[in-house]
Amino acid sequence: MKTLLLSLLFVTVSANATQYYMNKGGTITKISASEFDGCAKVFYRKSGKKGLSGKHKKGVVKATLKGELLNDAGAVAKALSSHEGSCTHSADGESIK
Amino acid sequence: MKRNFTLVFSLLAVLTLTSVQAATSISGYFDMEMFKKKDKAPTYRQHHMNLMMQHEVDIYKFFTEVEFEDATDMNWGNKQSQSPSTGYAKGDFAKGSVQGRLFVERAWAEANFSKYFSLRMGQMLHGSLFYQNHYPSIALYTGKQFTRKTIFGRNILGLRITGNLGMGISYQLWNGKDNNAVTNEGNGAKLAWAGMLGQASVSTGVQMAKYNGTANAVDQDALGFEASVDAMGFGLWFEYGTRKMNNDTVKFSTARAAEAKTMDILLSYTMDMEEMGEFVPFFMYSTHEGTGFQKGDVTADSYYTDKKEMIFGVNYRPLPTITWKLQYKNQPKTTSYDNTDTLNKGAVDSNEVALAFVYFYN
Repeated sequence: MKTLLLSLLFVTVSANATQYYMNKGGTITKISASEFDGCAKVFYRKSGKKGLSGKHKKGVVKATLKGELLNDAGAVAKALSSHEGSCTHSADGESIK
Repeated sequence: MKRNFTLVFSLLAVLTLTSVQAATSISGYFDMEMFKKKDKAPTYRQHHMNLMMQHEVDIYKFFTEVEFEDATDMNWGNKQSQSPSTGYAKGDFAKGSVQGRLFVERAWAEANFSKYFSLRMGQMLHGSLFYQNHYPSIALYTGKQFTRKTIFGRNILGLRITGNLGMGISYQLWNGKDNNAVTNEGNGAKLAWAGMLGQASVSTGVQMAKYNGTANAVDQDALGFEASVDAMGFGLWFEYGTRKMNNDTVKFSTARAAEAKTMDILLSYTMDMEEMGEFVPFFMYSTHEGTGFQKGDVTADSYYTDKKEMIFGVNYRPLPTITWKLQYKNQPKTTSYDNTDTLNKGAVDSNEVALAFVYFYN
């Protein structure tokens, strides 16, 4: 029971941590939050949005309204790989490659 | 008991994981407005309640927006015996028995073959600056601006091809039908550039459209130019458009202006108050000129007269998803310029205060 509770806690906490990625020279690389803030082209997603800064939370709102949000990990990886210098975010534990 | 707990927690764990990995987005917004004119009681408008859904897989994406406007109450009143299949005309129902409207504002699917070439099919908004940013959660003003009411059709029901050509240059080509009754079937193109100029984020574009006429709307050509600049919290939006009927023999037999020119300028400054959210004061100036009304025509929509509008306002966003808006709008007396003696709309100055609350959910 204890193990189950701890596992659940781990899943919940880690799911809320936000990870950032960038297409650097054709390779998708993990980047820091400050590098992400300087990114000119961002593919916004629902996943991991809670950990974003206010500026990027506004970006999620705009992207959603414009129909530009990407949620599917495979679709966002494809979009990211075709735009050099672009960035995205995700919840921890989710693969964007 | 222990077994029940295990089951509940296991389900919660699955639900948590599923919500993180979910590929379908459900979102939308609610928009409540209040207007007050001098010496008149305030009026209230529960303008939008809107549902958006989006899903994508691989290179394909689906998106739709269903909108309930004005607290939709579809009470068919004393016309229940009439078959809906025969259709209803405006005025069929007893006053007050039908309120608001329910419609699909957008419904499209697209295939993103590469950054150079995407194909979108269905009903979509026109790709100009003020159309693409008219949503209550984004637009600083409350109301509709001239360029997006008059020059290009609101919707395109058809196809649009878009792509990035590199160096910040993008293109759009479309073919379709506008269902907003201003125009009809048409073709259009847009060329745009976006990038950084020093510390300023700049985007600019030029676009044109050719609309094919019907009995109520003759052939028309539309041309537009737009630019937006954001630098150090300051924002500028500019859009200019012109639309012209190109058939002299019929243009005076319609209820539309034969030629229209519009311009909208929006200046803003975003003050980041960190934990307190942000304040965005703004000023907007809009003009519309129309020529060539039919003599004696009083059925033309009011925005086909000459008009100017000035709006001063402020937005307060305590959270990125919540917006409070307060604005003051002045619309000077309409200036009629031609020999029509019946264009008496907007004959007095109009001053109005508006307050709006927008809740975006995602």
